[in-house]
Amino acid sequence: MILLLNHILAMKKQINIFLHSLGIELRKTFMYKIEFWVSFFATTCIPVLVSYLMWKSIYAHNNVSEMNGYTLSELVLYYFCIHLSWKAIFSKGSGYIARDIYYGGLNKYIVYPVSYLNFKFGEYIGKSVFYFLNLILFIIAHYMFLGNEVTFFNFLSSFLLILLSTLTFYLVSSSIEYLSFWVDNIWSLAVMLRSMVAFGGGVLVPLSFYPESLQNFLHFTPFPYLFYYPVQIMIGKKSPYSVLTIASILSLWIILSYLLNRFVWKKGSYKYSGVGI
Amino acid sequence: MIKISNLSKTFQVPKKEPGLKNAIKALLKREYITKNALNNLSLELKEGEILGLVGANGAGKTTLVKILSGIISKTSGDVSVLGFDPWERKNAYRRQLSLIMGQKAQLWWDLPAHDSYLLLKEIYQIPTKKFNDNLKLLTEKLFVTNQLNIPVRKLSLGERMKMELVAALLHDPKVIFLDEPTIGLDLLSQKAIRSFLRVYMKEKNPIMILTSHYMQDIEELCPRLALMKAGEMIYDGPLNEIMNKSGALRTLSFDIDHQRSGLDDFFQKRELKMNCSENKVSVQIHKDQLSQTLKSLLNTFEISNLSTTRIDIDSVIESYLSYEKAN
Repeated sequence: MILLLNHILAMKKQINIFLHSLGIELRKTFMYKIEFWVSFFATTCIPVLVSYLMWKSIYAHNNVSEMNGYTLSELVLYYFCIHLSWKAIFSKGSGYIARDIYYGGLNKYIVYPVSYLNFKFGEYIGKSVFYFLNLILFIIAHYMFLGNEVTFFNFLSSFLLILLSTLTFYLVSSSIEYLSFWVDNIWSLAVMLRSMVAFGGGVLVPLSFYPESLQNFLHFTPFPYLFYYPVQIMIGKKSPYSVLTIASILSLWIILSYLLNRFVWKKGSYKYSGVGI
Repeated sequence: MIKISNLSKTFQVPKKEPGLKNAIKALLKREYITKNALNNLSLELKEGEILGLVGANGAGKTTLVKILSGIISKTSGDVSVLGFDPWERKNAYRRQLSLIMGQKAQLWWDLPAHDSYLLLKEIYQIPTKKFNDNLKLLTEKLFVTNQLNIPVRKLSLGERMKMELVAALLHDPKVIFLDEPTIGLDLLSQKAIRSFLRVYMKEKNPIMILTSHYMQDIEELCPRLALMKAGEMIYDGPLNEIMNKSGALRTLSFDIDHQRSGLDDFFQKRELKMNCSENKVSVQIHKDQLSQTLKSLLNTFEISNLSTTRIDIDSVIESYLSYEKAN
């Protein structure tokens, strides 16, 4: 009983720290007014606008109202959602842990009585919140101007899946970032991971535009589950009842990537030389 | 209590030869050099003791602090701090520990210090009353109450260091490692931090290890001194003892335009070694000998731009080593 109580208290503390580090990241995001609005327009509006103009001319040139099961309006909604989900999942970019290892910023986290993995996840989600907010805003705007409705149930189920995806991607990317314990520069690996996820996750074009054999192959990788399927549910192209299947597959990836993460951390810590002090 | 016996630490450092050819070669096969950062080091510290840890760059001071705070692992030997092995990184140990790195900011750069303190309150699970009391006390003593809500990046270096000190002491640590706390600060800020630390030590009685390149920090705060060289502890004892042997030296500098030929004899008679470049002269001299020599010097020669300075830590080490060799 006492053991259970201790466990609950320890969990409560971890959750508190997670929420506080999330809050710190949010405060950092809202700290600089100009950067906030520039980032809002530059990282979200412009890429989506470019896609919209490009696909509009492709549809007009081919004189079709539907391509691979997408009308222009649906494709625009797809781009909104996939782009912002991708941003949310990939919120901290590359090098957010590697820099700590390389420049010795990790030292302070080692001295604190907290889990580095948990603390950084708080920061990670804190950054994602900005893109989640953008996503909600765009869905409302899209409904108002283009009339495509995203049902609340679809949105909620896909939102929960994207949260699971964020955790999965965080665990995988942090495991790769930990390789900095051994090598000075992991930038190329991080870029490779980012490109693979973008390609396999349908950021460039919907997966239904790929050849069937490639689509079949991608089903065996974690990439489509990260945001392609969740977005498909959100825009009504996939039944929300597939949520459980996708959530189970993501959970499996979470367990595997967590074990990998702990293994790499344990081995890497021995290599750490704590540069910078 | 800190107990270290026969502690050693070695690092494998990649050997990087200059030139493109060697860079390509290193892609296929890289050679490593084994570097002994610490060599059979032993040390004991009791509650309330302050140890001044000095040594030239690369002597192993920071490596020792990193091992004691659990940042890096040891290669061999035994280390126990408050009964814990630091490398196990137990939360019960880390809650009683504080590490202040003068060259490395721990506060969140873009946010006001107060935000970081609130986060530290959660990290160390400090009860609200204790947190408020400690924050008030520390900020008042360091005169930074009005800077609490200003983003850290907008503070001066001295104010930032004071904020770092507050952050490090909020949870009443029992063991404090201070790495160069006054580096880069102006004289007033250095003095303020030193007098704060002196009062803090008296009131809270933690174990403290202080590394610094400023002799003044060591002299004012540390009754005990450990001197490191190439990973070994070459002296561990009262500060007074080593200062009597070597730290009481002063550097006497002046300019001279005429009568330079007589200077050699003047200093040789007093068994002092003179360094001379163009018209600038400098001599290392024991502080007890200073006033008498100065008097004769001024009576005998026409000199200008006269100044006396304390010697820095590197010179104390050098001087201690030559003293040991001679005896």
